[in-house]
Amino acid sequence: MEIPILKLKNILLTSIQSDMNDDDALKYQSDVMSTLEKSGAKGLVIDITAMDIIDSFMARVINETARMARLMGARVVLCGMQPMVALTLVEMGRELIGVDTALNLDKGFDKLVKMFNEGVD
Amino acid sequence: MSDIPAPGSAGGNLEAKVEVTKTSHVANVQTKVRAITRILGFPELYIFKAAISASELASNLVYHTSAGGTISIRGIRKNGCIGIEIISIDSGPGIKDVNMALQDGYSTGPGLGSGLPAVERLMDELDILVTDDFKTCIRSRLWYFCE
Repeated sequence: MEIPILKLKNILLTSIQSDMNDDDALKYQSDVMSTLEKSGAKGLVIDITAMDIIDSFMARVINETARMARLMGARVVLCGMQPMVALTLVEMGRELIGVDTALNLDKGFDKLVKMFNEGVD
Repeated sequence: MSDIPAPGSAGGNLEAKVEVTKTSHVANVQTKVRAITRILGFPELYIFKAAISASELASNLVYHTSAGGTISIRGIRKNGCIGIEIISIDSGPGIKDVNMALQDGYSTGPGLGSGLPAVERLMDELDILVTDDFKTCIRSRLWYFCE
């Protein structure tokens, strides 16, 4: 499964889906990291609009990817969380997602740009 | 609701059994659970609760067993409630400390340690049985009051 990584100005945009297995996750993460390196992008948006189920495996993939990207000096925003996903994530337990979130892609971009301007982590 | 079988009886497309040995099988389990809960007429939130729980149990089979296992799903009925039952069976190496396994953040594998605690919270019933020969059987049920 090839996950497209789009670059818009200095922000990378990726959209992930539920049917990801271990190998897909590993490939996705290394693709994002090498694109970050090559493009010199300062931000990463992970869009999860297409995910209607987030289990602890997918939560781990998202958290790991965000941590890796932060290590590479990028700011990360997660956007497009479905209402049902939020409902079940909260019920599932303690803070499963440790990433800045935004309602949708639009607001996600705004949030990143704001972070760049303010210079906050 | 007469088309829903009582626990123990054969239920046509309200029953499914999925072998789980690798991560790509986890999605199969999710699909089956969603199909069955949809036939049962579960509300959307319940469908997702059941699907996530099944997916956690299936992931556990992939990461914590030596040879994978089986997930059995079926629609059940009791006292005017309909429910879904998800049973995970594997042949080892078993869970050393069940109480620890239900603690948030405890994991012996690469995961977050949120799988079983999540299932416990999402589902109404969770029973874990580790036999003397290190087989594990986990039964979880989610009920929906329909009457």
